[in-house]
Amino acid sequence: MDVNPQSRPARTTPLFPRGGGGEGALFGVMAIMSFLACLTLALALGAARLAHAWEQGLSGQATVQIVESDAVPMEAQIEGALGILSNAPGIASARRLTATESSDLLRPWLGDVDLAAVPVPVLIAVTLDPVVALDAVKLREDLSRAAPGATFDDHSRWNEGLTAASSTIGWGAYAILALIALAAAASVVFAVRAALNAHRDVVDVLHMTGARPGFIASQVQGRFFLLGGEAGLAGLGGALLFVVIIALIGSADALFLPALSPGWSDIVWFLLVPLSAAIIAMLTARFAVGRFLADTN
Amino acid sequence: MIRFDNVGKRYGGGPEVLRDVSFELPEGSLTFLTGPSGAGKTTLLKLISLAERPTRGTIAMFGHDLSATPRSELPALRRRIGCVFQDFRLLDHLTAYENVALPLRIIGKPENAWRNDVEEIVAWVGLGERMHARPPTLSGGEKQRVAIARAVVSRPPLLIADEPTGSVDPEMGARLMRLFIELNKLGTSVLIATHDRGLIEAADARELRLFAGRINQAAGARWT
Repeated sequence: MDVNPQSRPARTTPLFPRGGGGEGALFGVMAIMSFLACLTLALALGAARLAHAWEQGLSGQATVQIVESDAVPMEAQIEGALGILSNAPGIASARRLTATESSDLLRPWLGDVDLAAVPVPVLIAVTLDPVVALDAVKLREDLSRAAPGATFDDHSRWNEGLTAASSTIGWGAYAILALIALAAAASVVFAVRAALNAHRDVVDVLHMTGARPGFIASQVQGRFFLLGGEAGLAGLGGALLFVVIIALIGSADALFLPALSPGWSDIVWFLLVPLSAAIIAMLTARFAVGRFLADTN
Repeated sequence: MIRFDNVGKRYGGGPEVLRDVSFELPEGSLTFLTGPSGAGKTTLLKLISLAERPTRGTIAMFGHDLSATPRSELPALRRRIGCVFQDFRLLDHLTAYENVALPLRIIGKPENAWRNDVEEIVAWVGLGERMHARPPTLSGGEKQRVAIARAVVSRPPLLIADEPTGSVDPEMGARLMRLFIELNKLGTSVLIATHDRGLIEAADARELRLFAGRINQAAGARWT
């Protein structure tokens, strides 16, 4: 047999040649979307961190505020309240704030005034036991008997509001991520159709030789998996550069709430973005090839 | 093997390109499809290669009534038909070897399962030295032989060829014809559309004549 194996190519040539069908444009679009997805993901993660920080900071603390009462003298109210708080289950410790500490709390609103002449409420800082549950209703009843001027504030009103706010930011970010994924998928559909039209000769020959739609899709989806992954990595690179620049110029705290600014730990999650871009591109390409062949045959 | 009953074909709202075409291709036959340009030869070949569906009539192939065959089963039927087109339809970015290997590659078998078969068939059509050349560097005759090798590499029971000698010199045409006759002797049914009277007269084969979309009754709606 007059075979010349010397010039055999090292590996199998892809059936669909690279280029054509606007793949360069798709790379750019996917890279930008991956960049935006990384930053949106950072926002979602930051919102979760913020909610956690607020919850931890507020839920472990409570305050008892005591004002003058006609029925019971102030000092007796304070002693009675401290006695009830020290014995109540669910409370780790209770400490009366000093006059200086109270003044410090009021200074931002009242300025440097002499508070001795003003009937300032006495504050008792309460640290809650993280293990034993507090019966706030019973505590309020006990306090009202011993100290009629006392009010117990477990910060739940603030806690709920702030948690709801950060939760809204988080869900908003996830919704934006979903929209980015949808837009990326739509871009892939256009690019796949353009690529198949550009390589119509290949589709026709494969069709003529008895290739099943699944085989044709497998030849296309691998290419788009790589393209999506590479574009995702480019977007990730851009996002990392952005985080580094923000960190270096030290403007993160000025631009964002500290917990919302991108953190180094977010980078691990960022790695999901190129993987997701690759998978979205691959699955969408498979779907688009199926639709294209169904429409044209 | 193939049976047409009163088959008609029109494209869109245009006139019928084929009208009431009925014939049967027996298994193992060598047949020429002849007729003037525009007679409907290419359309008839497209129907046989399952590239088009008839607008009326019935076609039976390999025991399947095509009108009742689901689309998902058509690829398996197409694999039983080797097609050689006048314009070759080779993929320019693949080598001659890779073009020939295409019908085996789409089955999904690994290359080491068919490498020898492909190299043998490429050598058989006389292109062993040009195996790894790409189509743009091949002559018309070489391209035609690559197309023929691709059509027969999976040993399909039916080979159809549209003007296979139209773009080659008479010597190469005679050589290609000898290839078809050899394949036919090996058991492949062969249908060749051609204008080349010399080719037809040189081969001891049947002739199916088309004229204006019909089997030519004047010439005898028959095998001649």
